[in-house]
Amino acid sequence: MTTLWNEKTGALVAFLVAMGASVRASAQGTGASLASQDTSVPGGTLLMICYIVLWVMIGGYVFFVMRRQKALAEDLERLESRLDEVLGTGAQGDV
Amino acid sequence: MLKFIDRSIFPVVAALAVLSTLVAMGLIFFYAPVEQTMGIVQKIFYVHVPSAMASYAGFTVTAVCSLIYLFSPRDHWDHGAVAGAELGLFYCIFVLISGPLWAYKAWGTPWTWDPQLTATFVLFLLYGGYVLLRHFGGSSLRLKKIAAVLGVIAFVDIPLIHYSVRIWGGLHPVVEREGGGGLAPDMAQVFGVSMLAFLLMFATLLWLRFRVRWREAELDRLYLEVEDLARVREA
Repeated sequence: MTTLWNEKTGALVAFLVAMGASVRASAQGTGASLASQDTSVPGGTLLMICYIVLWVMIGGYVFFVMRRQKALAEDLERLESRLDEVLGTGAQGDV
Repeated sequence: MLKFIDRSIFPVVAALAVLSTLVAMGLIFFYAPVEQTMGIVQKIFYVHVPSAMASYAGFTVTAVCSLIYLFSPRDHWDHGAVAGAELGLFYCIFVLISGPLWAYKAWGTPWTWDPQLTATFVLFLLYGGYVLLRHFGGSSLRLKKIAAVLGVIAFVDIPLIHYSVRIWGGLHPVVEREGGGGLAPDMAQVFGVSMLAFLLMFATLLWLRFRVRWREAELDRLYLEVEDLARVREA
């Protein structure tokens, strides 16, 4: 059992080390080959896309939170009317 | 305490967040110099890095609140953990969008399985799983505790992201950290203002989300009390 465990552990460690070495070699190799490449999309366009995405995301998130806030206010009104209903019924029942 | 934060601190922080964001945007577009090697696309840096910091801040809030919740299971810690994860994920998504836009120009490809990029993607998956679990998994105490454990364990990826460049190398540049060349003074000023603006905006959005979640839970509790009252009066 112990031998089996050691074999499995050793195989796992060897696999992880090989994966790590492979990722590192791949990243460094890619870096060397990409540094000199150029793209057809202008930098200004990429910059504008980035800032538009940022503000759309922030606007969307604020809108989402505000919508939840509005739903909360409506729920509160429903709760108040339900409370009035419960207390009103109770008062008639007491009479 | 929560009411004091809501009425006294939150409006000030929100106003400062709006003001500092406007100043930061002005400085980025009209004051920060255009970087010589990469050109104007380098200005993505002023929102990419602060977003990554805001993302880490969100996940740190989740991990801390989750850890406290495991020892002291009170609802406000749970609300804090969920709000932090949602907002951290929000900024993490923006990091995963802005990074490839910048990399497309700087490296010639939007994505490569660089250790830091891969670790950031893993972080997105971990906390994405957490948020999905919280949205669709119900609201039992057991689920909250399982999610809290996940919120703490997933945090381990953040130091991995931070030190991955130093440990494993890769394409991702280091600017201010160990081995980085640093920033020109005028770029550093704009970066500082942008960082402040993003952290204030993060704090504002975090509180907004926390407050809504907290009030939703309070309302649910009140509904149950009203229905209990109704049953008592009917009996």
